[in-house]
Amino acid sequence: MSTDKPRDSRSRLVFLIPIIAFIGFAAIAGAALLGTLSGTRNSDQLPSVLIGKSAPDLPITPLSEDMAKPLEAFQGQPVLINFMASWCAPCRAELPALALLSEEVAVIAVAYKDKHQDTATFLETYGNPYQAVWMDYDGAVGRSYGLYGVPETYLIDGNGKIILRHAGPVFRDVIDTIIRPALAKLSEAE
Amino acid sequence: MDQALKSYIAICFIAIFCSLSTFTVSFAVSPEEQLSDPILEERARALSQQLRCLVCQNQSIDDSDADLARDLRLEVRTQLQSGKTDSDILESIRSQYGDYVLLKPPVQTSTYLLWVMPVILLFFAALIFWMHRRGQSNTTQHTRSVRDSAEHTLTEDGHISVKPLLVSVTLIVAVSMIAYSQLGRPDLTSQPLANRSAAIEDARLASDARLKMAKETLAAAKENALRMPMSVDAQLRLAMAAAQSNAFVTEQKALAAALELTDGDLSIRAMQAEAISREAGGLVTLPARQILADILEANPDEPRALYLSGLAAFQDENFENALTYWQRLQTLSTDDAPWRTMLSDNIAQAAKAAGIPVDTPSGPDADMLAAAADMSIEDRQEMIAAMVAGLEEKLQDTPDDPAGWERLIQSRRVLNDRDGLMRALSGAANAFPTNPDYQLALLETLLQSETGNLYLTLAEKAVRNLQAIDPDGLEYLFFAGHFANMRGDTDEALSAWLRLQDKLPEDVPFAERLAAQIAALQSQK
Repeated sequence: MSTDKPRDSRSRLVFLIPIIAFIGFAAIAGAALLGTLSGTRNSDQLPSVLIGKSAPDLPITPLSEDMAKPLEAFQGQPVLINFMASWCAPCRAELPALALLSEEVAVIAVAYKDKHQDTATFLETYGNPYQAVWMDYDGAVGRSYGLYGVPETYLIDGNGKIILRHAGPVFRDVIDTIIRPALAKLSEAE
Repeated sequence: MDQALKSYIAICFIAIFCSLSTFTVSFAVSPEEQLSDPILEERARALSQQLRCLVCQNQSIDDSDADLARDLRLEVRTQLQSGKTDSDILESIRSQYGDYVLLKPPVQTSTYLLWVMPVILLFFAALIFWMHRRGQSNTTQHTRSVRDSAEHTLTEDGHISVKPLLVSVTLIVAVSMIAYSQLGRPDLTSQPLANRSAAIEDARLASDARLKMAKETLAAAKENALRMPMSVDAQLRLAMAAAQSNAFVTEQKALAAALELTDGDLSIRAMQAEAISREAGGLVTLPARQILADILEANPDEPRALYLSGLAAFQDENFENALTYWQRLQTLSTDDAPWRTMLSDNIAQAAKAAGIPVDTPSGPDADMLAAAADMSIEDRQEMIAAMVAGLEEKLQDTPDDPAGWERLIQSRRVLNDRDGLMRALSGAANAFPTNPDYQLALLETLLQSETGNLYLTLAEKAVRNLQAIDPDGLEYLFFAGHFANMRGDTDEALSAWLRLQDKLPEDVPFAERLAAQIAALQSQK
């Protein structure tokens, strides 16, 4: 009997391994779930590969002559590029927050797969917070930014590099938790 | 049953299930997106299956109906057409959307853990299992009478079943890993890319050669149409060449020019409808249907219009109407009409879809078709040649049959039989010496075939016929000059062409060429 004891306990230990492994996996999954629930981890926010790279060119057609400021005109200051469309409801919902933001930082719009007249009417009706509006008729510029839906907003620094991508509408909480901190970091770096 | 065998079978079932689950059939590619080149299209499909739709995330862009997926599919196809390789295209999309867009994650530092995890897990599983069995058999040896658990008896029954099990597990894993590294997923033709690159290159070269040939034909046809702006035949040939290289705009322009020259010929209108449908990827679109309705109102027997109207009805799933159109065309068609086989196939298909039993066309013609289907290619060609020769003989006895001549000419042209074609053309020209169209058809073909002096006598005769019809006609003057020049009779060539130059308005592009040729002749003297 006395010789069995150590063998017995060893085989029990072996059986513990899968249980420990399971607990380990459960812990990782639980942490991810907690993160999702508390909002610090968002599975909808895919990381952009373009962070730290130069912002791709804007479309060549402006909405109108007074909305034709090119990206180079904003050199030396941060600028937000907001991909929007008149056919997109969240794009309308984020307009007030963008208007608020436009007092702190230049905001330009790229109208993604939209008709010229529709964009014009949309901005006339709901207000125009943008310093420039460019028409991306076929969505090619959107794809060059890795866009997968509207609205999406990109923060470009004074050197023309992409600092941040936010997918989904910009509301006040997004301004407070994401955009303002990023802007503060930029001015600190200067 | 032996325990090891049982486990082995279970593992096999799991393996089969896993491999089956990768064969999904649904796809969202719509016909108008597809490339006309089947090789490029196959590559496009293979690439699309490797790219994740970022909106739906668990679908490939090939499966997804999302707008973005469609855009990316189109981008893949555009890049393919510009000659990029598969890996170039994947890389360019990855540079915009990141690794996440690739359904098969790349092997790199950040994904080592992901790739080796299955192996690690299997190793641990095997280790645990082995330790467990060893522990138990030790226990058994020492305390056979003391412990009497379920595992205990199992060990006694399935005696040393651990080793074969371990061996089989290792074997299955090793074999699948080797198979995967060699073949990749069977439904993804481009994986692994390295093994396919030679095949892709070959296919690309072949398709390039085909494109180049089509381009050359198109260029020659364009040149020809420019040289003979008044020739309907040249315009129609340009349209045909353009259709082959998918140059839809050129095709439509040529057809429009031909339509103008013939003053609205119905069969050319029908070709326009066909061109419009072909541009829409084979769908008989509304504008095409409008044209078809107009044609059938003017001539309810126009064959091409009947065929296309049937197709339109078929596409609307109005199979009974499709049958009506096609069966009407069938009764109108001659036995050797080139569309005969296709037509009977279509009728059978429409009848099946509509659930109507059709009496298959009886008579020697149907029997012959059935026989032709069973024949080898050589035999079939022989049969066609015999049919054409029979037609030629018949026409020599009864030359007063314009439709017969036209069919003969068309057949010879399709069969690429130059001597036969010349015989048919001159036969028609002789049978109808007062019809300028037949004279011109012969002369134009002689002009294009550039066969030198072989057929000069035939040409002479046709030129004289033309002269008899209208001694001041532009065509007569041109051809008289041309063939006189071929004979070496510079004086007569010059006199004919100078007369032509007087009559020709100066703004025609041909005038410039004519002036150059006259200058060349004058310097020769």
